[in-house]
Amino acid sequence: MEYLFYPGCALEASSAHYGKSAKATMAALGSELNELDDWSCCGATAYVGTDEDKSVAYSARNLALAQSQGAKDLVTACNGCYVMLRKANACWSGSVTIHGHVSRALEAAGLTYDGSVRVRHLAEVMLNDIGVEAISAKVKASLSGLKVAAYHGCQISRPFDDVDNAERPTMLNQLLAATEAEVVPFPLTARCCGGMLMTTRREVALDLVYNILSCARAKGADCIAVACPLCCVNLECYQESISARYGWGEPMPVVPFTQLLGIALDVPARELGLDQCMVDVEPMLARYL
Amino acid sequence: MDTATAPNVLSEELVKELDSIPDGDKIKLCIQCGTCSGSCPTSYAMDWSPRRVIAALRAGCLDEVLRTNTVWLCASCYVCTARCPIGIQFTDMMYALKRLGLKHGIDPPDVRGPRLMREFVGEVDASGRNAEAAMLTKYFLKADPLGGPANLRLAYRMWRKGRLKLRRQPFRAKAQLAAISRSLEGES
Repeated sequence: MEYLFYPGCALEASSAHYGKSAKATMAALGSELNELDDWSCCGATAYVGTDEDKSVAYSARNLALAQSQGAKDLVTACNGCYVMLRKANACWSGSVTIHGHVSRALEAAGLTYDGSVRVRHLAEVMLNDIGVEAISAKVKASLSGLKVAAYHGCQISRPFDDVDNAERPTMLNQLLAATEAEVVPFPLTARCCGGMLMTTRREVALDLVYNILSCARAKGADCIAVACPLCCVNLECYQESISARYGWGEPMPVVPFTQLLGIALDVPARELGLDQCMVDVEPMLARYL
Repeated sequence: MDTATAPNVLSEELVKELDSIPDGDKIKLCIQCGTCSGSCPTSYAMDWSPRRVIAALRAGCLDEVLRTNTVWLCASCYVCTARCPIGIQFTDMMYALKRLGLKHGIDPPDVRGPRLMREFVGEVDASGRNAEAAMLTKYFLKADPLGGPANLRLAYRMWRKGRLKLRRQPFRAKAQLAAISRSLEGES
């Protein structure tokens, strides 16, 4: 199966290893993620907070490109892009007043869109199109013994809660269980990582991240698996500051869920970008593999 | 910009903004139960809690609301939206308030959100995407120069891991984005 893939800005840079491992893991599962050519920004938090019409129109440009290629689905691995692209799509559902301007703006740029492309999160695609059984059948390196806290973040199931539970999403738990890792109970799985507050109000974001990390540790997790590039950076890259501020002990690995799946599917470490993790994952993997 | 915009002018604008949000008029039905404030992960750091913001908006105190740090502490986690018993889409309302604050040049003290927004939008308008390194460099130089050394250290570590790209990724359709932008500016 082939999917049109919308990487988004963070998968090009601060979570390059997530983009890499998403493609490699899907390939190991017999599916291909083909990047949408010349995609533009999804209109993320900062843009929609400034100019809604433009944010939605820029976002919808990607949907129009996908449609022009005959795609039924546009897949993203970023929670933020997922919500913004879905919100742009909602403009074609009839209840949103800005639809007229946005539609005309696309036409002015030589594009047309009819609202037919379905925006999907990679985790949901893996779960519903490929399925846990098919993934389990391809597992070559069991992660048995490894304790994982599956962190979904906010926007994978909020505000759009039609594919998973808004309060307690479980998509990642189901996927990771296929690797035979032990997915620990994790009450803060959908609690906010602070998002862009890590840049604009760091002490607040550090509080939030510290709560999430300590909850994972209290539940006995060896690592945290994430499904969003911004969650990944916030949980992973500021652990030194958190250590200095709250006396957080040994750093905890934080990995895109696609990396853990990839390891279990025996995808070479290089293709998964394991060497790009800020907290070294080797000692943890050496214990269980 | 003139920060003394008459509150009633702003209130009229808010009504228009709220109209563009699905169910925006539902704030009239708010029962002040405080589920939003109790659920919000950052309300502890807000000048006014989400519940109080709704009360203030209904009382016509938009200007005062925009002068608090509240909207800039919303990280868009949508937990208030998910839990509101009335179905108020408060996160979207926070976006509408951010837009109004930016439009009227109201930057509450000690709030850096507006600066980040401006750099982000500038970067996307110029190059189609958010080139993280360029955007954050501009932002930190202006908003937090003293945090420079710590941020540079992290940036260097991320660069070593191939997670910080110094060059912008090529983007060909700049003319297309410009056409979208012109069309929308013509409509507003």
